[in-house]
Amino acid sequence: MIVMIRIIMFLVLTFLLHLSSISQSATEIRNSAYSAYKSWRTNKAINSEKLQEAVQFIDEAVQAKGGENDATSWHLRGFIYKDLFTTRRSSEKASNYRSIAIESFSRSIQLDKEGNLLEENTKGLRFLAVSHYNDVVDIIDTHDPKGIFQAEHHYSEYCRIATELQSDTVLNERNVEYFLAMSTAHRKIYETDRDEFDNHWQISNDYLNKVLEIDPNSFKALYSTGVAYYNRGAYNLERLPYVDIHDLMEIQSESMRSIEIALPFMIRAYEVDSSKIQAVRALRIINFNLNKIEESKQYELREQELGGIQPK
Amino acid sequence: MKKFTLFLSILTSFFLQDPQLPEMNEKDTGAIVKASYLYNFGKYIDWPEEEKTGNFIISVMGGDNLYQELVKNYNSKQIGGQQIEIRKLSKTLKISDCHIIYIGEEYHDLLPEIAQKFKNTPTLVVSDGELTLSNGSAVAFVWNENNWLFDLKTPNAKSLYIGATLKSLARKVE
Repeated sequence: MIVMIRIIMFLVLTFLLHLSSISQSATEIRNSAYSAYKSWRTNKAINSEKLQEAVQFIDEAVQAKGGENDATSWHLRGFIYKDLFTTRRSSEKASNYRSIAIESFSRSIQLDKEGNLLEENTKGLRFLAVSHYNDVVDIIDTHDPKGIFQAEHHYSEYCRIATELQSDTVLNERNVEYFLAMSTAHRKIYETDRDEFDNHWQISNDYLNKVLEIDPNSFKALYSTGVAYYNRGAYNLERLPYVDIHDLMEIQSESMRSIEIALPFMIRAYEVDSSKIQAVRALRIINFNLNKIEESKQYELREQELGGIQPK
Repeated sequence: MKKFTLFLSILTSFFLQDPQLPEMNEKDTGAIVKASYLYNFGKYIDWPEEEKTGNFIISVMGGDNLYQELVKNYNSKQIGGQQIEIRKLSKTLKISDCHIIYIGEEYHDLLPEIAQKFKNTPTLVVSDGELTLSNGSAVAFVWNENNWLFDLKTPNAKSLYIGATLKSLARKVE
């Protein structure tokens, strides 16, 4: 019996000692991570392997007992992964590094009840949010029909972080800017090959609708929607030469429907800003093609007033 | 907190450029459609055998955009075995024989005289507006529910055989 009690006591003591050692090692491991990270930062060229070493230590630290709730460990992990992301931006794993960095900074903010690390964590998150935004811009600029869809992920990440950092963030203005840019990108993709990328026409318009939901008086969205419908109708007629008369009538009908839809959007754009010569010109063209010759002439006069065309 | 918004605004306002306003693709859709109709009239109307040799001539008086459209897309193409030839007419020049003649709105005052000239010849006289049928044209383009359709007056094309297809597609047949 006594022997059994001794064994049990020994096991309990061993367990307690083990717990203590785990707690200690989390801090030690974090310190090792910091040390490696510091070495890397001191001389990145010579100590290039130190960053990877820091990654291994810090990953271990946040998994170790006590480390998982340690704001400092997560804070350090955020910076280590942020640097891993920036130094290996072109690697396939870069996106993963950025996600880990964001997750780590966010976790650190949650655990940092006294807010000692808030300023630095916020800076890190801001940097990563902007990096997502820059990715959106890069994607938009390339007009890649497949890659363009990734922009949504980056933009939603940007918005999520912005809202996380400032819960009352109002993104309407930013959203309008983004939706217009995405609409333009999809339109340009569509224009490179109207048959192959036909679906991008609708996507482009969907983004314009999103703008109009936020700002029903957006000149750019109203004008662009009008042009989108008019151009679609006009380009559709390029199928006409040599088609049979039945197809001719069907194609014409489709085209004219599209041009009809363009008119109210363009009228609204003109009502929003009657000094914009683009809207005046568009109304002249649309009315002319809907055989509203008198209306077209009125806009022609207005276009002349604005200096768009020389009087005949 | 405001600082963050400002920070992002400053940084990111440089990133997305003001999206360009799209360009209007200025077209005369009426001219495009009418050109295609003229081509189809050539296909669906039967000309006398003696007119089935040589070029298939489409003459245009007025209607500059329609003329340009015909030249751009139909000149030198074929109708049956005949090569299409597009001719531009002026009121100061003698109007020679052709398969189809289109008289634009700006020359409607000349329509009765031109129609009279072609009355007993295998030439299809085409113009705009249903009223032109009473002035001698056999086909009139009409604007109907935002589409260009056509009216037919077969007695004005006595030397031609206008088949059932065209008649069924016409808005009105006299």
